[in-house]
Amino acid sequence: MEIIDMQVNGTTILQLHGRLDAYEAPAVEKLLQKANVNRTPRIIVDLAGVNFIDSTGLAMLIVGLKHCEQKQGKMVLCSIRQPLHVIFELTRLDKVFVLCNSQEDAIEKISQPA
Amino acid sequence: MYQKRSDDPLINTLYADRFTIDALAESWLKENIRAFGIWGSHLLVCWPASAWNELSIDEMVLDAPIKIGERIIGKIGIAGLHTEIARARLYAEAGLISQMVSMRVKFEHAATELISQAQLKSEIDMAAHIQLQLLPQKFPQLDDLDIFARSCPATQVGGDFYDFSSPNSHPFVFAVGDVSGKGLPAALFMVMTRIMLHATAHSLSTSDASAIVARVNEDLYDDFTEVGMFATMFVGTYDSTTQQLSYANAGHSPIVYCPTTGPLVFLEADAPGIGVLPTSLCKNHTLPFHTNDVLIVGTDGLVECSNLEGEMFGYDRMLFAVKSLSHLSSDQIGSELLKIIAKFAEGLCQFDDQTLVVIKGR
Repeated sequence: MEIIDMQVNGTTILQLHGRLDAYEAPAVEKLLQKANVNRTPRIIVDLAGVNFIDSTGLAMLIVGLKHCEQKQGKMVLCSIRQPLHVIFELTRLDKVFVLCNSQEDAIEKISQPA
Repeated sequence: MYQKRSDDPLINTLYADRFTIDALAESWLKENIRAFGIWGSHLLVCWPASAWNELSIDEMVLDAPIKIGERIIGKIGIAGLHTEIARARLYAEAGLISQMVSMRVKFEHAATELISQAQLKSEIDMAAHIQLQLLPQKFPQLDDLDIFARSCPATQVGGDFYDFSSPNSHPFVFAVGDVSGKGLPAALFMVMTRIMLHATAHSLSTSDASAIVARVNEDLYDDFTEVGMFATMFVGTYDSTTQQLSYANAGHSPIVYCPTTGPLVFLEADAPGIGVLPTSLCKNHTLPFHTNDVLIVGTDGLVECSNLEGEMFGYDRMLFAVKSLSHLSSDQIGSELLKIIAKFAEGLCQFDDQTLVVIKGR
């Protein structure tokens, strides 16, 4: 999995490419942990390049979200492709995460006051 | 020959007229691989290659490595020799000793690894056996329902489970769940979730399936959060007096409801799985369930398995297969559906746990 880790105006943007499964999730988890060290973390996970996610990948994103919310932060997922979107709908995790169509939308969403 | 530890805890001193290979190898394996020995009037040292500089002994015959594979883990040196001939002879002997110690050390390492692998394997075999035994082995015999269930983990142990209340309980409760991840971590939480579910269903004794899900979520949320896992779960209750089926679906799929009087429908989840939110959002839903109506509750491993072309079995094939099998008994529906899926994925290893429960109205 290729991960691009960017900092834009205090927001961590993780752009992921490839499969987000049990083998790849730990690398992303580390970056989410790093981002969640901040006082009120702001995290965008861009899934445009992700073509597969398994339950370990989903669990890793849930952990990231829980930690972020514990610190009154915000975490947004964006650019989810159709096959992945179906999984978020089936598991009803679309009710748990804030999902945005594009990275621009996500930046706007995360910049809004709570 | 005898040996004693020196005052320096890192150094093991062997005093002997002649070293034995076993003593040297043992010294490597157990005594921090630093050994001095007296060999006749000579000194023989057995030392880690990385720490060779610690030694400052004159007239050392060197370069007799102790190897595991290509990695040099130590050296054997002999000091105190005064003639070229003796030096040449003992140099050759040191080389021979080093080869023999290398082989012995390598053998010990391999043997230790084999033993620990065998122990781990037998423990996993035992865990797999216990886990399978924990799932109901006999399907409940009910006057109104014909039931089939099977669970096939992708590895020896898995995170999928199914459960039934006692056939005499009223209402009758059944459930299928899938703990995130695979292997032993998922298996541990699968056992915990299933026990909690079973106890909750028994103590609440309600036909409100969402109340069971809510209680299980409440009890397990902190544990799931602690380890960073979650579980999808479908809980159903059947009331024979009203012939109604109630269900709550926490992020679980696929579930196919196949009534004799209408089209097949997927029963989609209305809330995420157990351990995701501190309070469950699951609602209770009710369906009529009469003679020959069929309910299929599977886990995602059934629909997400792929064939050699990389296509997923998917929900459309699942629906089509269920439709063509729904006139059969639950045992035949279950067995045939698993055969169809296995045939589709032929030639590939099972990637995810697969569990299937079929319930048919009598």
